[in-house]
Amino acid sequence: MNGKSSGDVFGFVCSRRALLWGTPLAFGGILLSGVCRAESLDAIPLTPGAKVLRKGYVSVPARSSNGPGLAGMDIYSPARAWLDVDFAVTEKADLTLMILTQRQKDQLSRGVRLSEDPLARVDIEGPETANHSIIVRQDNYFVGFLNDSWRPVGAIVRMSIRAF
Amino acid sequence: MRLKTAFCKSAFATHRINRVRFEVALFVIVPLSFGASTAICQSRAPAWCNVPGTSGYAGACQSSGGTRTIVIEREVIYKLGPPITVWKLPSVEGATSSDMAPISNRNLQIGAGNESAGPYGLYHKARRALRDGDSEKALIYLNAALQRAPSAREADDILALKREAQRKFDESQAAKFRFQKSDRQTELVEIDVDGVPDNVLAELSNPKRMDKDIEAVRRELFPLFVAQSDARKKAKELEKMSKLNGQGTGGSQEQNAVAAEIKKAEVALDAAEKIVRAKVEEKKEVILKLVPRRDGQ
Repeated sequence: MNGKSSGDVFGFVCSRRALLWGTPLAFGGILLSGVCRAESLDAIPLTPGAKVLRKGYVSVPARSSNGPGLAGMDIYSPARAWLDVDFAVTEKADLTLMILTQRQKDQLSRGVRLSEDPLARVDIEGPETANHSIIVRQDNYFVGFLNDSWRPVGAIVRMSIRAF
Repeated sequence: MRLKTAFCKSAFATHRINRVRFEVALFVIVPLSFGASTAICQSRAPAWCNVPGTSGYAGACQSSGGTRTIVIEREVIYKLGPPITVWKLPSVEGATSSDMAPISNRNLQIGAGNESAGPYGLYHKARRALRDGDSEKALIYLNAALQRAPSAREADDILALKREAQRKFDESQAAKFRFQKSDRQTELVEIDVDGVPDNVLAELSNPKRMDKDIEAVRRELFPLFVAQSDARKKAKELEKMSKLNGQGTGGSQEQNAVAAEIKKAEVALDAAEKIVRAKVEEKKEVILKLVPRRDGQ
């Protein structure tokens, strides 16, 4: 009896129907899990094994005659890893999350145009809680938030890194 | 399943026979997905042949040919690879990371601002601006997007949105314009209308008739009425002057000139009247057309 019922369960799990429905649902769940409308980072669970680099509130300065407001930090990845930037913006904003390599940051600081696209440029419209992940190698990186509006915008940011 | 040639001890041996094909696939997929090598235990296990036409067991079953389906069990041998780095201790990243803080670096700010959006990023910004009703901002974004070497497909999207943004911008500009009351002075003029049937004049003067057709006729006819009235007034004045001159001591030459003027004015009046009559006749149908009135009568 037990053998039969376990065989039936095995048969269902491995049946074509279960595969047909289960696979898209599982992938959809994974893709949508990081994007939601909420006001805190609790909505985005930290990936198991990830190491939090920084977590806290940052106020991105307003746009000025110097250009868009910028707040950012340099990070170092000691190995190939997933770099996750989770953010929550509670008001309407015109922010852009940018991730640059150290070389690209140096180029921009010298006033030179980038020869390659930045690693990430993500529009943040606000209010929203979302995350963005990229794969990084062993290197220095710069993660910055650009503010294109004429008033400062606050954001809660959590940056984590997970070697794989 | 027509032939069962080999059998290895396994839990799957109790499964129904119609699931065998899937089990074989599973045995192939699972080891491959883990990157493990496999070995097939065909020879070590006792073979079992009970199908007529085969030659017993101990070894591969022999058949006379055709398709054969077999059940096999694979032994998974995991290879040791290089150790996966979980993390390096002490944490190097912590030692070199700066704090997330505002940065004041003009070059970096402007450069990052310029690089912060590709053509399609600007396209999406323009879409958002358009959704928020700011068509002017949308146009700025779209123009910037076109200058950033978009691909052909991106350019199509950008140009289509630019057309829409331009249309909305034009509409918004038109909506901003307010018609104001003109400070031009007007005057009421009394004119004599002649040669116009009463019912036609009544319809022309009817303030409840505001339809487009009669408005067009009014714009055509009223200047003609004024011209006709002016011609009549001029003719009357000249006639009056002529009478006054006849009573006085004016010479015949002067009288002749006045007479010529009167003649001229009469011709002009005649012409004006003819024009009015012809126009009224031409537009009579439109003027007298039955139009539902605004008061519902």
